[in-house]
Amino acid sequence: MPRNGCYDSLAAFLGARGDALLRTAVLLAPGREAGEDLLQEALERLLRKWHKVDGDPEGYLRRIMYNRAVDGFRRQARQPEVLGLPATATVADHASQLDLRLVLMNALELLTPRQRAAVVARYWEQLSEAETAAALGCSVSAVKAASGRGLRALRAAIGPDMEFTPELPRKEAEL
Amino acid sequence: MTRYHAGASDGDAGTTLQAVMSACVCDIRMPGSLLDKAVSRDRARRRRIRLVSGAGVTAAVAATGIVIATVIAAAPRPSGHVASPRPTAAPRVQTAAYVLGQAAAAQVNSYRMISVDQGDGIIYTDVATQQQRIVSALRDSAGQPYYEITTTVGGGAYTETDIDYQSDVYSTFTTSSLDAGSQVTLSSFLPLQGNSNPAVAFQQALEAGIITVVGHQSLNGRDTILIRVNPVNKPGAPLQFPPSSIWLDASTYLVVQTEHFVPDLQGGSGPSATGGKVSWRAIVNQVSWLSPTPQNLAQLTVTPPASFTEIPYSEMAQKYLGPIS
Repeated sequence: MPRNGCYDSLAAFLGARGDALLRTAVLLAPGREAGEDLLQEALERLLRKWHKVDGDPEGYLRRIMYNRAVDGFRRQARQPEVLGLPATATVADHASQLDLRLVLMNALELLTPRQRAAVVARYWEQLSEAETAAALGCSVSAVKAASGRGLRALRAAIGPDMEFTPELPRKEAEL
Repeated sequence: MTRYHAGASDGDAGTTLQAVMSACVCDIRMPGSLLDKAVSRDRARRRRIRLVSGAGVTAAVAATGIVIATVIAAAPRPSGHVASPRPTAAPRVQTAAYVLGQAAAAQVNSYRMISVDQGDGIIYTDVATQQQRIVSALRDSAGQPYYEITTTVGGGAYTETDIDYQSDVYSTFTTSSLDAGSQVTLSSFLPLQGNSNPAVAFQQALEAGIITVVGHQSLNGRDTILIRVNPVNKPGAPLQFPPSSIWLDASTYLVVQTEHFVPDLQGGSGPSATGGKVSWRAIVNQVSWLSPTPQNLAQLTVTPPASFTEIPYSEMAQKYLGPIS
């Protein structure tokens, strides 16, 4: 495939699916900047293997993102930023969207990369345990353990009274 | 109001968590420049592969134990990559192991230098910082290159400036760097190798049987040592790459010329999974080395002429993605 064709195809694909992919990356990384870096790195890897991609590149791209996330994407750079939650963040009584995002991202930071990837795959992507296991390259029982522990860790981090209003937008149906 | 209860079942919690996640990221939109950044970094990576692979493959030669020039007695073995090659110290016995030690030392010492890779165009590279300036091989009738590109990686940022002399335009952008700045991995592109210590990487390459020391060869009147690097071809793969060649300066052990082959797709006999014949095109690069003086470092930068117009990087990337990638 000609390089310009590669660019045009990828640009068209990202125009349709880029937002959804970046949202997943933001949760996996976690954080807006780290998510952009994760997606950008996945795109670089996709470009290297573009000639091998047959059909829809989305699955390939997602697989790269999950693998990199589990491998400790930007582990060294991110470690200094792993902070404990401030006491006031345990209850988001008047959570604006930004507050909510801060609380969630800080809580996700506390998970291990595999727990985070399992939680995002199961509860954001709505993948089955088997699909999650395939995406992460591990067993179903490992997915159960990681997602269960991740969920418990999130509960502990966020606290029992996290509230949100019912009119908050739902995730798009195609996700 | 929905509450997230600690005692809720995983199913309930999952539903709630999904809604929380959705609320957090629903307004996130992918920046249009993300693909351009990825493309740019991919291009920079390709350029580095071209440059570093030459040096990495070169140094991989030694330690095979092959005698390439026997004189009298055994010379003391250099102490790996920390020793500095002595241009005037002619070795009494040049075994492949000796060449390996010298080449490893030369490669490490090149970390302080500027390489000038002249093949299809010219690439100036500050090895330590990976700052580069690329001058296109295509030139107009007045000798003006069609374009120039400068890149810098450092301080957590990647910056690229492209100047198009044909259209009097330029573009520039900066993005976050995933390279942590100064992390330059030597020999990382040596076949089957990932060790950042050249001496160790070369020894491993030797044990993998991918190097052959051919011997001394005069190259344009210069005494060089020719090395062959056998590619790691998978049996049955449609592309069986031929060996590449590296010429080391016989006194400094720095790379002075490389030759590798790429499929000649323009000849109509491109690679095919059916085992069709593939013709190969030789790519020869001349490499010279400069010390990092202020005058030489100035060659790594270029400023767009004041009369040029800045355009978005996406326009520049689409225009030149083919010719320079």
